Amino acid sequence: MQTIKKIIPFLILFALLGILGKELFYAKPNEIPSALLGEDLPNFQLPNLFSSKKVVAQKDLVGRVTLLNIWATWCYACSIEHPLLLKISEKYHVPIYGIDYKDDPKDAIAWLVKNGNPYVMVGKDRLGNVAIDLGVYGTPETFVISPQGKIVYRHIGAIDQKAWDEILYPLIKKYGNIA
Amino acid sequence: MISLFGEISLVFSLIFSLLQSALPLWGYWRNNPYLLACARPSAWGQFIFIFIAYLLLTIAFVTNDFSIAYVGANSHPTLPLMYRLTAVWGAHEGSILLWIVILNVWTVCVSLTSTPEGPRMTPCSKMITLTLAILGLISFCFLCFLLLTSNPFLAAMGPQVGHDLNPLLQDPGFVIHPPMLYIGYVGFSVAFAITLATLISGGLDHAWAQLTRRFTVAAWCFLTLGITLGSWWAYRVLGWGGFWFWDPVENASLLPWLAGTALMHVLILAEKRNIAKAWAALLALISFALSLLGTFLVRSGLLISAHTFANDPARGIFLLLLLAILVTAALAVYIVRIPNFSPTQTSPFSWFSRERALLLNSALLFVAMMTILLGTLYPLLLDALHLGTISVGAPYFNLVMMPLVLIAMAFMGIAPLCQWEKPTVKMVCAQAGKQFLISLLIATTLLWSVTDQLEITAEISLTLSIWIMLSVMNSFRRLPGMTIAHIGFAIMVIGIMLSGTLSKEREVRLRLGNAVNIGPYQIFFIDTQGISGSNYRGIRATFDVIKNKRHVTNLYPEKRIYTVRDLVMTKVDIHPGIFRDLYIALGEPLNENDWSIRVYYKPFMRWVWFGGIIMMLGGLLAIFHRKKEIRV
Amino acid sequence: MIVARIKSALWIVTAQAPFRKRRLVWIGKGANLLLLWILLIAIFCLNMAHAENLHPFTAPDDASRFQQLTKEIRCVVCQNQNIADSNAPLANDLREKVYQMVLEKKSNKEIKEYLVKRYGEFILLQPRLNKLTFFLWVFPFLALAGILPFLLRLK
Repeated sequence: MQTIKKIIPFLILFALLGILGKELFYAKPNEIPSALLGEDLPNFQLPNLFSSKKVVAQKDLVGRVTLLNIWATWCYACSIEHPLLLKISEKYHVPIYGIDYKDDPKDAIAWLVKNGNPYVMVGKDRLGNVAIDLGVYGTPETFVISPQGKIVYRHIGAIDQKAWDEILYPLIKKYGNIA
Repeated sequence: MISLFGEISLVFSLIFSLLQSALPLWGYWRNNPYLLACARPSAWGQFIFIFIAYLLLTIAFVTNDFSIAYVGANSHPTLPLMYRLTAVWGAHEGSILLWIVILNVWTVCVSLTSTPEGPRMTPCSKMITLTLAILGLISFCFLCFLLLTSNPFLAAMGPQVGHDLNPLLQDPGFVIHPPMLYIGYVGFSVAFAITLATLISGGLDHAWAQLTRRFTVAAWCFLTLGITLGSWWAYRVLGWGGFWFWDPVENASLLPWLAGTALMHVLILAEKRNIAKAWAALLALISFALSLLGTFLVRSGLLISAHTFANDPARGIFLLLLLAILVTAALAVYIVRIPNFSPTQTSPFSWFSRERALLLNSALLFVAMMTILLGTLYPLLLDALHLGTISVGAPYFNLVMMPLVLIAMAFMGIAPLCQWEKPTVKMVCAQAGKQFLISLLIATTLLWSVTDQLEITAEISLTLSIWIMLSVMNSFRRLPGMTIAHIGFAIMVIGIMLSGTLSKEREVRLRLGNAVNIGPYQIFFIDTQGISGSNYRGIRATFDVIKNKRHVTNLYPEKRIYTVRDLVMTKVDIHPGIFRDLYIALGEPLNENDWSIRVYYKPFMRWVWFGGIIMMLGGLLAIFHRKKEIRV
Repeated sequence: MIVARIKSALWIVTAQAPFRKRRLVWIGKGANLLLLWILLIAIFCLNMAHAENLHPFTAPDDASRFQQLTKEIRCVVCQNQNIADSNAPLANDLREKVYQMVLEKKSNKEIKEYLVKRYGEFILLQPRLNKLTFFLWVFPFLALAGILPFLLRLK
């Protein structure tokens, strides 16, 4: 009994140290998973960037697996990700919808004309309200939307080839029933 | 050149620390007085070389020697001289060097406390020798960490132009806050070492209690000052009028403070009444363990905080190992040796005795410490067990600490009236009750006259604070240190509570020429002008403060861009006063003539830091007063 | 973006500086002070418009609710700040959103639910009481209760 009493403090200490150690290896304190995983894509409606009379809405993204990309012209990482987005839309034929976040529409149109437009449609979110509705932290962020309109994955930061190959494309294939 | 000599000094320091720890321990084992006698000279040797290393790094900063990577990352030719001197500890590597330097300063203090021994070692000097050995061991661990993972003298890759010191650190508060904090943190290592030394070499005797108490109070004074200065600095620099944010790094400094305060009080019991020695010894070990934990948490990259050093997990692992080894060894020594020392028979003490009060105090402080520790680590724990990500922030801590502090204050009011062992309960109750009623009366009157309302938390805390001050008045002659320190604490609580409940803030859109009302003041936005300093450009706004149609002062908040790092910083302006602070910060320019600004009216804000400083003075008085005491 | 705004404001201000300097320098220092006083008195007499709150409310309850809420919501892109104390773009947006929701008379619970649904429990600085945080909230009481036998034992 006495020995057990002596060992307990050590056990508690080692448990605490073990947890701290594990956190060191596995923690990414700046990466937080989307709280909306598995939820329906929030019902939003934004004016179309290219023609204000039309709208881009949640219902446009239903029916097949799509990507929803939040971007801005003033965001450096978005320009890095842009070539890959063009490739995704042209080579892999995945429909990408864009939300232009807190941008001047004129700048955004000029930017897309100059660098190429990978998007099926782009909505302009001048005040950032829809972004908050989506739980967005900043730009760029990309959501994978299932054909039923549910958010299945959220990627924070620019997509690189590695993320595409390892995470995004397999998900798209899975939900799109593409072999 | 400097880096070469710096690294050589560090290596010599490492060698001396090894000698300082290994030789005396071996000498103790073999009962060899010559090996034991090596402790003191090695301690001095280590100190000299680590000081040389620190001096060399400082010279590198002052002369803008950008061939050293660390200097390049934290300085710039346009950085003012004062900040170049203090940038030495502005980032991880330099601050660890400072940590070790201060550890050696304490070590030298320890080696100076005992008389020089002859060929025969008295038990007291044996204890000191072992203390030096353990301090040497701690220093050795940290020097290994420094040299292997955090070498400040590493050469820069390619030419450097200097990245400038983080603008938030370019403030006079930064000049003294970290050194004071480190002196406090590291000072608990002395209590730790002496306790371990006594546990190894003998029983927990009077000499241990006396010496540990002196060093603990000294370390506690510096930690109190360090935390107070940190809070004052955050208030001035962080832009939004707060002085304590329950940030994980702030908590990391508060935890050893709470344990240290408990230790201080229990050591009184150990020294004067010869009881609770095992508890005191445990607290001594825990205080320093918390310092080490704090050092680990701040530098490991595990916590999200404005204060953390940018760090990679590799350093975190090393620190965790360091922490694990030192704490496990200490715990092992404690558990093995404590049963050997049987508590002496002491006279029983009743419920209202001072002994009981001091024990209760240490228990409450310990509970507070554990609560804050749990709150700080909880998000980490949940994340490690894959149970989700939560935040535990200021609202939680404020809510949970409030009742604990109020209970502690209630007992602080009674305790000075209790005598040792068997006080006359009736007299204690009568006196306490009388003083409580007087404080209640004074508090109610003051609150009513100042605010026309009796907000419950303000009322309770003000009553308790005044009660504490009243109850401690009579003790001034016998225990001046305690009196002043407790008064300081009461003042600090008044400052915290009243500045919280009575403060007013406004966030407005202000046009040039317009005014904003806050409290009894009108603040007019006069103009803005461009300014430039040696490493920044900015805008300074002029505000005129009017009260009762009379001009009070001008305020000049600024918005600065530090050119090298392209960082925008808000520099607030504060009009301090004994009874209130006026605080103004520029927000953003909304258009050519409009700015968003924030003004705060904070009554009794200064009392928070007055209180802290008075507490520290009380502690200093306690150390020096003891020396004059004539033992009867 | 904030840097750009400040830089442009700085340009405006410094561009006007030479004019101010020229006009004031020849008057002399003492007269400067007089001018300032005249200006101030003029401001009094004219009773110029006062500042407008950045987030005005008609009901004082709403104002205090807004203040309290913004202190409890974390700025998720900052290093441990709440949205009241942060100038980060997302913090400003979240403040606006909370402002809108308070104006719409949504309860504190609804506002917190809305944010937690999108950003997770991480965004609340005061953890809500549930199975996971139960120990966190109960611990202080347990610890306080636990010290009693400790005190009773020592006699």
